[in-house]
Amino acid sequence: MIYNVSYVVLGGDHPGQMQSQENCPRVGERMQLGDLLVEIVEVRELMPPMGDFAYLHVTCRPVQAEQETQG
Amino acid sequence: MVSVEFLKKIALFSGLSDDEIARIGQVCQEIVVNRGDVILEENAPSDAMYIIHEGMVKVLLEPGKVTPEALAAPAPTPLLSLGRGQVFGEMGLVDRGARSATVRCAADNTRLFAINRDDFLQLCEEDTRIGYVVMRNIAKDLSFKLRVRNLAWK
Repeated sequence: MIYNVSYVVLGGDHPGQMQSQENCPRVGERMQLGDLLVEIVEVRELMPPMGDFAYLHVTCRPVQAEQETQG
Repeated sequence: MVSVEFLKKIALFSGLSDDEIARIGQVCQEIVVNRGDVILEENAPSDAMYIIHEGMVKVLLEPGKVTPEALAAPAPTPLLSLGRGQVFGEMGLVDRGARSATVRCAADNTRLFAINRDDFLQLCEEDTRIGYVVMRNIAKDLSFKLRVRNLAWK
């Protein structure tokens, strides 16, 4: 399956990102969006899959600030 | 030369056979761009769509051209980034309108495949099944992007 994923980042200046990927994004997973380290907080199917392609909308939160306060 | 295996992973070509995808590959032209290069300019005439093979691009609205926020912005407003496997410029392929946004390269050695509109439409005329399937998939891609924009307003 190929996942067409739209990423949005809560409460920040990141404009969001779209990409195709072969792994399904999961809640709790951490990933890099450009220069920003984020954690996935929600994954929702935006449209039904077509053939081998799925269409997902992923909401993330930045984790860099949290790391800085813990450090 | 673009590989069939890569194009099979692009949603725009979902539902096409390997032979049909190979015909698409024949009208793809590889372009390599670097960070900061402008690939499309807002309001410019459109003549091609692009598939991202490697790298990243940013979609930007120029100040003062569309929204009040953009009007007040001193620099282009970033709408989103597009990465591997994403397509841009397809609106112009469908409606022949001017570019709705500027697209700038965000990473060095970004590899794109450009599909010229006239070459593509000629292929669709020659093989109407390819035309039907790709146009249906372009509609789905635009629907996906519209749904994402709708969510951004909530």
